[in-house]
Amino acid sequence: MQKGFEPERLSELERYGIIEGLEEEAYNAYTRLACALFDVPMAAISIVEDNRIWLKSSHGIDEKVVIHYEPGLCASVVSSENIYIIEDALTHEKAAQNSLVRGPFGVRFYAGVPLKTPSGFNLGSFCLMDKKARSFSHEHAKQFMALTSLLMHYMEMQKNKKQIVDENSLKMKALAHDLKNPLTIITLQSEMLMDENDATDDIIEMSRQISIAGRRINEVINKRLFS
Amino acid sequence: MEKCILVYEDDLEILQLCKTILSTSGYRVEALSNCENIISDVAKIKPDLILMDLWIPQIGGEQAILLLRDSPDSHDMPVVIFSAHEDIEAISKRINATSFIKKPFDISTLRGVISEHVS
Repeated sequence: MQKGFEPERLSELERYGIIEGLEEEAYNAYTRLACALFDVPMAAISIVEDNRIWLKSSHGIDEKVVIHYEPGLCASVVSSENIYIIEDALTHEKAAQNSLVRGPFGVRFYAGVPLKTPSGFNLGSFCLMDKKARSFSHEHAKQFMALTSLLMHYMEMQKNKKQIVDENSLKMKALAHDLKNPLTIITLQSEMLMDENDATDDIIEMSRQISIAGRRINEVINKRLFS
Repeated sequence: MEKCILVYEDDLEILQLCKTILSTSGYRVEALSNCENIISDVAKIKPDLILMDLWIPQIGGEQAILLLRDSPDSHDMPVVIFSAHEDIEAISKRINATSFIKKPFDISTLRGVISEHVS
């Protein structure tokens, strides 16, 4: 994690709109594919958010496993620039202290690539895990980085989609707001015309029709622009 | 003694309509199109209630009401906000407004809310 840039990194994370707890098949496809491609039992997409870690998707990991924000595994990937490989966590000074390694979960092998945005912020990691130590070749590392790059392209597309939806929603709200001020004038003026002492029946009826039309326009705005 | 309503609204037609409607209801109405100097306006006019447009330029209705609530002379003054904002009820609670009117509104709604809250 880029020290001193945490508020900016969290703002960047918000722009991606990655929602905790929302199951999304596309992310699950990446973790499943990673397990199959690299022949590992576990893969996860972790997101680091304000000193805590949560999994956007995981494959082969019991849901009850609690991931703490502690150095050695995912938290270390987020503060690194490149792929982070630990072939045997028990022989790695930092990783050996991580509760996922020394606890009952017993991680031994770990490979993680930071989820780096085009602006240079690491949002989390894409990682592979095994409960037994194993080697990870240079070729594997290159392939895993390429897969992570594909994942980032997907996340980038989702971010762009969210941005377009958010912008359109704001435009619609502004439009609805701008229409409601003249509607207020139509409503009030038509009622005032009806209340005029010398208003003829024709004027009263026309004012009533204007008032009804105003209410219908308001209903259309609420239905089409706010829903 | 007639009660005084201070109306802030940047749409001059709505401002004039509110002034006409509330004047014919027996209130003295002061109408202003910006709330930049709300604390001094209130000190000078001494209104019994403020009707405030939420999206008024310069400091905006929300900030203006927060300023009022921070001032010992006006912290408990009745303030009714009016806006086309879809979340006006939540905003009203958040900024501790007395009540709210959603645009577009009709004459009886305006009169009803004002008479309910004017002290």
